[in-house]
This record gives sequence, C-alpha cells and structure tokens, in this order.
Amino acid sequence: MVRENGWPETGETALRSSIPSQVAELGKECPLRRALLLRHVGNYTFATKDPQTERDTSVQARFQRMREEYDVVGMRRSVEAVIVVHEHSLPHILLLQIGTSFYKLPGGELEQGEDERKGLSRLLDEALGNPEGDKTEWKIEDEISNWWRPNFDPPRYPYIPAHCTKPKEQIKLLLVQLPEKATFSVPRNYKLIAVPLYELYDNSTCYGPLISSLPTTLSRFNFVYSS
Amino acid sequence: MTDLTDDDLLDSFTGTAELPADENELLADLKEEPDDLFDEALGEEQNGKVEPAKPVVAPVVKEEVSASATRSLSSTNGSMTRKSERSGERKYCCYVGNITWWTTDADLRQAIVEMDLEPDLVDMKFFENRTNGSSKGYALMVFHSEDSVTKLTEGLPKRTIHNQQPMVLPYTKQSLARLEEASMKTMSSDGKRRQGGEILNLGTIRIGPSMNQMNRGPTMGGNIVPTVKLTLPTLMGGRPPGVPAPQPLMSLVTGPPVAPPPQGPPRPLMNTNYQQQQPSMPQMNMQMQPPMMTNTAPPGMSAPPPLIPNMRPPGMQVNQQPPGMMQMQQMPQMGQMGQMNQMPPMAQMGMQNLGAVRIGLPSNGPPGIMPGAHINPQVYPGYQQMGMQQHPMMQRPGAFSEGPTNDAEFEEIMSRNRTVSSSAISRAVSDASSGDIEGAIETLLTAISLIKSSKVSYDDRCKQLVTSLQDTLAGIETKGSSRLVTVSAIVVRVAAAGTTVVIDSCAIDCVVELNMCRFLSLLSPRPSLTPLRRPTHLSAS
Repeated sequence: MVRENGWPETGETALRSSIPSQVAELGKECPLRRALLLRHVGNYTFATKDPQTERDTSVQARFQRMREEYDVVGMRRSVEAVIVVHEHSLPHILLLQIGTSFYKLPGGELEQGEDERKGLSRLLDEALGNPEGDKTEWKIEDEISNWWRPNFDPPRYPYIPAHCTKPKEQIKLLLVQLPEKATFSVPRNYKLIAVPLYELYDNSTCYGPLISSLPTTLSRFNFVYSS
Repeated sequence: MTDLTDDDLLDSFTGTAELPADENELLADLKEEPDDLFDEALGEEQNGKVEPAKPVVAPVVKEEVSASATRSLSSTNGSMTRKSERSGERKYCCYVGNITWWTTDADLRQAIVEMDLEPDLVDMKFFENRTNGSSKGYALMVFHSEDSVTKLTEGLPKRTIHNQQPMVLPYTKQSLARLEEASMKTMSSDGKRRQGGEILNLGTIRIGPSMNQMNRGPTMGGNIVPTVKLTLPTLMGGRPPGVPAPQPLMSLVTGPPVAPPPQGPPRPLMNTNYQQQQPSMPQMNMQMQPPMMTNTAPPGMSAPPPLIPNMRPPGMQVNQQPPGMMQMQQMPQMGQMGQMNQMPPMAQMGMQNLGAVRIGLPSNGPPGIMPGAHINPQVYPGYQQMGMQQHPMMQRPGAFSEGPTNDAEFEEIMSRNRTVSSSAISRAVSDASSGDIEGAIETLLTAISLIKSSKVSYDDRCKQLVTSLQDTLAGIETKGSSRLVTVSAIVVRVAAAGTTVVIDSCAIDCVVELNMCRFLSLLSPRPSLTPLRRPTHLSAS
C-alpha cells in the first residue's frame, strides 16, 4: 500500500478541510494585501454600566454545560472580536481585563444557527454597547483566525489535531473596525484596556496562546494610522 | 519561527518536561489557559477538578491521570456515558496502543463497528501531548461489559489501522507506563533522526577549518588542532533531573507531532549566555558528548560563547564561579580530553550554561594554538596572560613548565591568595578605622609575604594582589584625617580590580560616614562585594 513515489497510501482523509464547518471557495480571488484604517485611541470615550455576569459559575460548571449542549446542538461556536486602535504608531488591541491577571477578547457564544457577524455584533453590544444612547456600528469584514477545542478541556489549538474528528468548540476571531468616534460602556466588573502589540507578542504566560499570537496574525494587515 | 526567545524555548518544553503528579493540578494551575484564570479572577472558588473524563468513569480514570503527566484525555462520546451514568453500571476499560498519531476516533470507531462491539462502547479517550494537542498514539476504550474487552483484545490486533497493527492492553498502571514509554521513544527517535543531517551554525566560535573534522572524528586524536567541543545546553526548559546529559537531545526534539524548530532553541540560549558571560567569567561547562555523537549536528547545542576573558583584565577571575561549578578541580590535564563526564550532575542542576571551548592541546604546552583561537582561561590559565596580550601563541613557556604542573592546583593557589589578600585588606581597613593601625599594617604585611612566597607569585594576578595590599598599607600608614578617604578609595580600587572584597560592617560604617555610598553602589552590581553584616541604612548592594 505504497504510492509510486514511496509515500504510504493513507486512504481517505478524515476531514475534508481545516475549517470543516465552512464551505471552501477554492480559487476565489482575494487581494494580496489588505489595508485598514485605524483610529487613534483618544477618539473614544468610556463609560461604565452594570456588571456583566458570566453564565458559568465555575470551570467545572462551564465544561458540564459544554458537554450537555454538545449532545444537543453539537460543536459550540464562539466568536471573539479583535478591535484595534493605534497610539504611538503602534496598533493596540482592546482587551477586557477581569481581576488582575485575566484577559479576554470581547465576544462569546453564538446561538444555534446564528450568523457569525450578526452574532458578534450582538455580543459586542452586550459587552460594550451603551444601554441607552447611541448604538455603535461595528464593522466586521475580516476573519482573522480559528481555534479549536478538541476536548472538554481548557486547551485550544489553531488547528484540529490529527486524531480528532469532532472538536467540541470552534472559536473564530473576527477583526472589528470602529466608527470614527464612539462611546463604550464597560461593565463594572471589567476593565477595558488597549494593549500594544509588543506587550502581547510572545507573552503566552500572561495572555494565553490565543491572544499572544495576535501580533503575528495581524501582521498581514497594513494599518493606516489616522490622526 | 526563526526568532525564538528563551520564553519560547521554555514554553515549548514545559509540556514534556514537567511532571505534575496530578492532571487536575496541571489543569488547575495552567497559567496559559485563560479559562482557568478567568474563574480565579471572578473570585470563584476554583474547583480544581476539571474533569477530562466523564463523571462516571472519573474514579476509574483519575488513577491513571495522576500516574501520567502531560496528558490530556479526549472524550468523544458524550451522550452514551451520560446515560450509563444514570444507570450506574460498571465500566470495563482497556488501552489501545500502537496506533499512529493520525489515527482518529472515527477510525477506531469504525474498527469497533466492524467487530460488532459498537453498542457496548461507552467512550474512548485519546491521550494527547498537552503542548500541541497531538495524539500520543494510544487511547482508552471504555465498554459496558468485560466480554467486549476480551473480544476487542482478540480481534483488534488482527486488523490494521493505517498500516499498523493496534495493540490492546489491560487497564493497568503497567500498561500505561509502557504506552507512555513507547510514546516518548517515538518522539525522541524521531528527534534524533531529524538531527542527523543538520549542521549547526551557531554563530560565535569558529576555530579554524579543523572544526568540522574534529567534531566528527574521534575525540582528541591527539592533534594539536584546537577543537571546538560543542556542549549541550542543559536542558532547555527544565527537564527533570535525572535525565543524563548525553541524552538531552531527546527532550529537545520530539517527533513530528511535537517539534520545535531545531535551529531555534539553541540560539536564544546562546544569547542569554552571552549576556551572562560578558560581565562575568566564562562558565566552565565541560559537557562532553560521548564521542560518537556528532556534536555539531544536533540541534539544541549551543556554541560556546566567545571567551571574553581574553580581553579582560587579568584580575577578574575564577573566583566568581557560580555556585555549583566546581568542575575546575576536575579539569583533567591537558590532553586528557576524554573524561568530561562530570556534566550530568551539572545538567541535573539545571544550569543553563552552556559552553566552553575545549582546546585540544598536547601536554607539553600549547604550541598548537591557532591564532585567533578563543581559549578558556580556566582550562588553560596560563593562557590568561597570552590572552591579555592578545596573542594566543605561546609566550611564556615557562609558565607551564615550571610552577604547578596542574592547572587545578594553580588555580587553587591563586584563589587562596586572592582570599588571603581580600580578607587581609578588609581586616586591615576595619582595624584602621577602629584605630588599630599597627594591627592593620601587620595584617597587610603578612598577607603580602604569603602571596609573594606562594608558587604562583610570578603570575600577574598575584602581583596585582600584592600591589593592592601595598597600596592599602600605604594608605593606612599615612595617618591623618584623610585616612578614611584613602581607605575607601583603596577599597574601591581593589574591588575594581576584581578581587573579592569582603567588607565588614565597621568598614561600611566608615565608608558611609564619608558619604561613600556611591562607591558601594558602584561596586554592588559586581558580585564581588559582599557586606558581611548589612547595616540597615545601606540601601546599595
């Protein structure tokens, strides 16, 4: 069972593509380069609003709920927003800080069958939207990366491990562009911080593999620093 | 990834290197996982029992979980277990090993369906490397009945999955250990294979064209050509002690699933060593590979940093050995390059240093040193002087033929002299400051004569020790108010020359009185200054 060139015949591949849940449009043209306008962080004002509580009260509860939902709905789909502003000629990513040492991207779980962009808009309104006042227009045009959780466990990887055909959760990161000016209402239990790329780069210990790899992922964009 | 840093290095090996006894601990204190931190941050009581297994199999699975370190289990069959959980049935488990890392849950399930065991299957869990999620090549199967386990044991090895014959093992600790071992072996053997053809080009040391040939050939062919013996970095990222030094390659490059880029790891390490070494002296890490290993090739070896000491003032010396590096005494004589097996203990101490240049020299002196060679002054201290003169060629044959025949002895005497002088100086300073001028003078004179009469007195370093003692003497003899100034100035000078200066609290008080704090703070970055009893008002050092 060996091919002509010496490689063993492996039969069918387990998965058809690396993002199994998406239709692969092979041959679709995409520009070589993508340029995006970044706003200066000073354009935005921040207010506070009521605390936003987490759905799960503990790690165990979280994975328990994940298991239960998996049986009913299948793989969980989460989306997270990468909002970029600039300062000092450097892109900064907006992160929500909980406590002193935990950081996350704004976002959350999609409902069954919900569209990704609409779902992320909804989640961003929940996280940063103004309860009374203007609704911020979130412009979502780029999918940056996908991460998978192969088991009901914390580890997530930017690929589906070879032996796994049924990941339990898929996390999709989408780049969100901001209007020129806006106000964000941050729940009182979070702090919204703008973190420069160099702080994240290679800093997996503080921010985790997902966030700390964002500088590399974003390096393909040409960010225009608007004044 | 071409520009790895130390952090990367450590990160990539944390997974395979650490052995927390409990999987739950591992999960609980994973800093890298925001999910866990998340709960801490919320102030929730962190329930460390993140259960990879189904609740029902948890008691069964936990044992094995604590037995193995870097595992995480993947469960693929949620619903079935929950149902059986309610019925509270007994579960029967077995391990399936010898499967490729790309063998999927679907493949195993397919095999089970074909054996008509599917209805009985409760769950299957793959054992994975935590660092990258890839399969370790074995899985746990859970059934409702023992009969199924037996049938699987008989039937599964008769099939092939991806051209490999799976192995079914009973659910015991020994099985688990065997499987773990097998997975480690796969990883390491892949690693070694990978290293075979690579040539390391780690930047710093180039000692002539002979390098390649010497490194591949037998050691110490007795040639006069200097050899660079690349040494192994002590386990990047903290491999558990006990791993023998000649084997660290295993930890470094693990097979296709877990493969840090081979060239990457050595470089950052080397860079740090560089920095470490610039200010202090070269680390004498004489890690020697067993001759058969092609030392240039394997990744994970870092080239020894260039031996800066050649440039440095001769005073700066080996006294500043980091703790634990006592290998000097064991330095074999020149020509006996074959025995550097003391490295394993060093490796186990987890030291990060890496490299020394081992120069192959005949025992009758160093005529064969090529120009431009970097020579480890600790190995060949006689060369220190040559280094100073920027000339590697022999200039003082006498230095070698007379005097102590053994480098180790030489260094021992040298360091003894240094200790003598530094303690004499500090004693004298404190005596002088407390008014006992005669005692101070006597101390200094004794020290001077001791050093002058020692075997190594010809050495420039000793001469400098004597000079500094004489200076101190001169300073003390000039009685007067400027005495303290002189004394402290001498202290500064002596410390600048690199001798270890132990200043007791009286001397410090004097110095402080004269507002000489700034001198101490100048000195404090150097490891040589050690106030004995640190007075509370001193913030420096």
